[in-house]
Amino acid sequence: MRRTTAIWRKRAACIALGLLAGQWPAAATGLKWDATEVTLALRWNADSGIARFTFVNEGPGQVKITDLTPGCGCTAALPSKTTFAAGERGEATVEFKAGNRAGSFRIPIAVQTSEPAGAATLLLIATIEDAITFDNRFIYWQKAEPRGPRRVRIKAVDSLPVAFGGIEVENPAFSAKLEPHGPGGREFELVVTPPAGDVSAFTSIVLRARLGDAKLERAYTLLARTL
Amino acid sequence: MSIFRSWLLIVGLATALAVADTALNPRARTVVLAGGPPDEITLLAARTHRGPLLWIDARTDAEFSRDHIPEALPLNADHWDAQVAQVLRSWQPGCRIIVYCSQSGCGASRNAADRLRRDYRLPDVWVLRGGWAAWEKAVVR
Repeated sequence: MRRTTAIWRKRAACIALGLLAGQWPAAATGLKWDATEVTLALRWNADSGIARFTFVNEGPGQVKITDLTPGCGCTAALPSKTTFAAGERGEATVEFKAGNRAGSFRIPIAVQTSEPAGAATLLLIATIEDAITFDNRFIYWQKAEPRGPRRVRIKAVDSLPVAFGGIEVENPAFSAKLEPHGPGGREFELVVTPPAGDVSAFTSIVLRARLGDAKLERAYTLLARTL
Repeated sequence: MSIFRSWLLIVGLATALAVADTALNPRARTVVLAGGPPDEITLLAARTHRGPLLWIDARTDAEFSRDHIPEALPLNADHWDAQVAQVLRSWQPGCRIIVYCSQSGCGASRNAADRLRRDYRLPDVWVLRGGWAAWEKAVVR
């Protein structure tokens, strides 16, 4: 009877140790992020935006953020408080610079803390509104395909005044002209004509536009090729 | 015998706890069960692809200059317009494009692949699983 009790005590001790060992990593991980993915939506004319990754220190002691490295030159970690006491809430802030970009970008951010198991990867999903959208930025003609003109549909974002300043066609064998499409002055078509004959050629076409009341100048590049 | 049974019991309980933790912890579940995104391709699949292939390096110019997959072309957000022109000069209909950046989750390769599909209407654009790190590891082996 005494022997059985001793065996069960040993078993219970081992199980308790196992349970403690299983819980150890969770207890040691201090920073609990509210969300490891943050979405940032920017208007077409925004220069930059700030993403905030909030967290709480759920560990038993103080935690220090030792490194915050965004995986893209378009982002910068902003200086902020780095040491957090047990139970304290905080945030890691990252500035995203839009530049001349448009569309959706996924930027990982590596975080290191003073804890051995404190590394985390956050994800910033930045979406920059397109002031002007193109149904295609690359048009091509296959070999032996008729070399007739091709049209690219261009649309300005709602309620944005747009004035196109000019078209630069790098290769003079191609030609391009802009035509209004539909009422309202918000839609256009770029008509691109390739060189005649069965020749291989390539060109970039730069479309300059002045956007908004401030007439911000933007350049959009399209590409055309005959195979 | 009783010691052996005790150890068996402990190992069984530990396994049961591990399974329960994996089942209940959403992060662990993601790591264990999630497959890669549908546009990801493994290095093995890329290397055994029959047909024209265009490697695109979406890392920074400095990283590209240090080393890159043979015949890869650079394409990053900093010099997009100039570099995408070179990519489209090299592309042919029927050519598979595989984009890579530093490692899994680096983001730049997916951004570039998305833009090539969305803005330039290129079909057959893939992201290399594991990125440059996977390539380097395979080359070292």
